[in-house]
Amino acid sequence: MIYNVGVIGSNSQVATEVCLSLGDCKEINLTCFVRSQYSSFLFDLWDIKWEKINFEDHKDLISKINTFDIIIDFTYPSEDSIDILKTAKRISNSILSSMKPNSIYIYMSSIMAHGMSNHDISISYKLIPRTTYSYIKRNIENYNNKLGKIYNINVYNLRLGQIHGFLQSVTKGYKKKCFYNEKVYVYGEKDDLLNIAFVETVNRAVFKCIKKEINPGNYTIVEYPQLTFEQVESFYNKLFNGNMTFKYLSFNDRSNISFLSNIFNVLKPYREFLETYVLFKLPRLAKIVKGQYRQARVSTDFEPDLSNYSIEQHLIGKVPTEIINVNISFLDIFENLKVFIKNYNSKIESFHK
Amino acid sequence: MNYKIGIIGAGKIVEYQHIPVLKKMKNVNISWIYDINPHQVKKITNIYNIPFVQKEDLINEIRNLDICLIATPVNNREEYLKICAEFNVAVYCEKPFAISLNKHIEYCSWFKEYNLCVGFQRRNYCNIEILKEVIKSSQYGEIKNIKISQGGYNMKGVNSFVTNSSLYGGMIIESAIHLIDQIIYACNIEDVSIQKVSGILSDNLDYETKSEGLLYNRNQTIPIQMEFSILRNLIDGIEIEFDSVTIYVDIIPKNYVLVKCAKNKNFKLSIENENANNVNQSFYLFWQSFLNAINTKTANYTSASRSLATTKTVLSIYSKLIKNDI
Repeated sequence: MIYNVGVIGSNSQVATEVCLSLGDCKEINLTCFVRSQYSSFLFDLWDIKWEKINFEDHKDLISKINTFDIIIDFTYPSEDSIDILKTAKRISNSILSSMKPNSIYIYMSSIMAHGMSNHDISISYKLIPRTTYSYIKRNIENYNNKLGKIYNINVYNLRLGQIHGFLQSVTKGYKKKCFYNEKVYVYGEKDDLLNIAFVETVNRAVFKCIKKEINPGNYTIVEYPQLTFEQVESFYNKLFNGNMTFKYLSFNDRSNISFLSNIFNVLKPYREFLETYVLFKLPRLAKIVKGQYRQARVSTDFEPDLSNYSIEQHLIGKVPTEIINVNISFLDIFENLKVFIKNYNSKIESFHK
Repeated sequence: MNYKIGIIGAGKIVEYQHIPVLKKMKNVNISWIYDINPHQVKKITNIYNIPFVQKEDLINEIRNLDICLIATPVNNREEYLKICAEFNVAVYCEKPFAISLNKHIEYCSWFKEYNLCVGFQRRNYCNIEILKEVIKSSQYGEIKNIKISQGGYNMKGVNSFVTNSSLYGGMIIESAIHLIDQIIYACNIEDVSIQKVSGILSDNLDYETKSEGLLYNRNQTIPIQMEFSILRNLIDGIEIEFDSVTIYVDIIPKNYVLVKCAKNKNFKLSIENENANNVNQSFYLFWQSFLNAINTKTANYTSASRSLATTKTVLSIYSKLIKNDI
């Protein structure tokens, strides 16, 4: 069976890598929707069909996407944050109302839709989203589900973890870290579970939706079983022939100072006054305070001075919602990525004049 | 002295960098802003409470300025430069400065040297200053070779003059030009010759280029290889090979450079300096330096006349790329 698949928002890093893979697939008749000629360049090089799209022209939209069995939506409006939700809902409505009944709509949401704040280290579901971004994403998911019932479309909201892949900024960052043999500071321990996914996993999850191997609904896309810091470190060092190392900080290091140290820091400017007029009168307390002060200072003396380093933010912990298990081993991801990189680079070089 | 500044061009660089920095400075006052796009002007005036001017009042308003910030696409700023020159108004011009070397020289001839600057703010990065000091001191010997690269996959192109060939957009001229300028500045390069270029060009927009050339300063001739791409992720930065070590400089502002010795031993080299550790600082320091040039009537590293080699490098790459494409 050949599936007619349309990809909207096909120029993002994730979308492009997904499209390059879908474009190679014999079961898929792929069309990438772009908003400008410039954005279509890579698709031209790869001989992937593309079309311009305008969400404001509903007639044109219907004629363009009504024939598709599956629409994959990678869009996220690039506007001021107060306008994003309104625009995103308008886009969802435009798309879903233009699709043929019983077709499939796959919306690329984010793991942040679980609702954590930007400073949270552990993944968890929050009833009330803590950030604008998570609020928007969750709202769009709910709206998509609602529209899916109205227009009789099978809606899949896929909450993507941190995506790794050859065209992804994250992987570029690791390439650099491996090249420079950098130390990368992170909160957690080497065996902590990370919430990341490689593009190949996204592709396979998309296929499961296309083939209706899973029911419509909300799913999280991360590697399954979830990867650890140690595995990611080893993966990239092997892929890029480097020697980067994760340096692990405990959650307590986030403030880097204990409660007592905080108290001492506040009182520090008054130290001499307090010593003369308070502690002189209370010699036993003076000795205890001296001991506590020295201990509090030592607790920070052995930690690295992190003012010159940036700490890489990671979301760790087990995903609290349903993950799509795509049954691919980490070794296969590694081997396939190596091949992808080699083929991609060769092809790009072949176009040089 | 309190400088009156007018702004022509209300794009992202003005919205996110110039205005917040200028608002922080004590000796400047933003008099007005103008842009052909009324929505963009309205957005800026709402955010920053800056008056705007209409096109018909522009010439009169320029007359009353001390400095004009011109941040329009490169091919539609000549008329503004002419007006500013006529009224002896100093100009801070965003990069790229000109679409030909002749135009670069011509624009410079309209102004006193200290009164015209080009926005190569990244010259102010800490790590570039460290590199400059290392080269000046010759502590690692002569430079044997230079490699620079910048690449990140990015095909989002709507509503951006960067992706508009009629506005002279392009990856090198709009983005990689900073990296080219930084190495030219750090090595005190006076001239350049580009010998070999290959790449992918479409609709006069560059998507990827590899080029080789020679850089000339007073002391030596240095081979250079450059690679820029929006189709692939590359390791961004500068690699300079000396007699005994190789130095790596990151594209983002840092307070150290990485020195790799033989047998893969490496260390971070930091030299105390008062340069920029982040982008905002680089804008702030660059503005301060330009104001200093105007105040002391002395050209400095901000002056447009000190970036001819950068313009020549960029345009040489493009002219060879276009020849290959025909």
